[in-house]
Amino acid sequence: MSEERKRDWSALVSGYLDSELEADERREFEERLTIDPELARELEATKATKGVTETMKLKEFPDEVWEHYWDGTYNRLERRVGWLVFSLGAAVLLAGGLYELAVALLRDSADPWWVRVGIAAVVVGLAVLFVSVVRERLFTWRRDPYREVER
Amino acid sequence: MLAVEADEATLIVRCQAGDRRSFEPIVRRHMRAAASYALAWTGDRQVAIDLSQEAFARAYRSLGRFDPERPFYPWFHRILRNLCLDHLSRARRRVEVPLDERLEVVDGAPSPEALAERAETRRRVWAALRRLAPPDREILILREFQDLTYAEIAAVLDVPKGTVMSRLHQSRTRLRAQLEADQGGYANV
Repeated sequence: MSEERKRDWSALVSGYLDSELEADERREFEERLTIDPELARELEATKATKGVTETMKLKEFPDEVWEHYWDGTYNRLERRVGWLVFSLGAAVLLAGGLYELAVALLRDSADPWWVRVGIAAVVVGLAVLFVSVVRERLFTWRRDPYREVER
Repeated sequence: MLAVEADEATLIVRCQAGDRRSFEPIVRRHMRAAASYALAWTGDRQVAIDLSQEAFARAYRSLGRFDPERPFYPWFHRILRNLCLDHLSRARRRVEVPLDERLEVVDGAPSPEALAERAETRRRVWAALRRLAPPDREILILREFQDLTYAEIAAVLDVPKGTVMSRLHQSRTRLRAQLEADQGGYANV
């Protein structure tokens, strides 16, 4: 029997143990077991490994988790809408404020035009950076699962 | 309870039309499997709940691109899986959660000796699982701890059923090697 052929049989071991083989495959596999001691040893070894994991299960969650699970998910959906509306409102207010600032700077100041344009650019840049940092901090904090862990 | 009884495709079509409440039965149907899967990766119940809820929220936001005729869970699972792996890569740099917090040994009334043995079993199985590559860990989690059939695993991983069978066997073989490499071998577990 070639090495390749052995590997083919070996691939069926888990399927056999998990009752996932078709009836024909199962019968052929069992016939093969009677003449292939190496395959039989592999079956026993895999059965032992499966036996270990079968005695274990993932820890259950308390029932109250499921009572509030949908509420938590729904809040996330709502919060997304909240963030979008908040961002839109902030963008409108910021744009209006900057427009008013630019108009005031360009119209009333006695300084040269390039000084006023420079000040306006600095103010706009700072505003954009501030909003961006605040948003990033809030977003990171909300998603940080270890925020209550002392580092 | 009408919505709960509606089939998933109908519920998804309603969600796509903007009915958020139609998402509730879908979430309720899959929340245990989702949280349990996330717990197997992260080892922390609160993180598992957060990640699974976030996965549902992201899935809802992406439903517009989803074909309602296809099963929801395999598609959703890929979103959840990516979130879990992303979380792990970030968490690795921060707090290390004890791995054996995720498991318990199925047993009746345990003696003190059995309790000690149980803790040791947990430690060794999770230490072995932890040393496996993510694809090995994932398929073992799906089969051994979530009890998915090969057909279900195939749908979740988007691979043929035959691939599940051979990949699972390779993963079990590697798990066995890890257990044997640990002190005493699995035979004493």
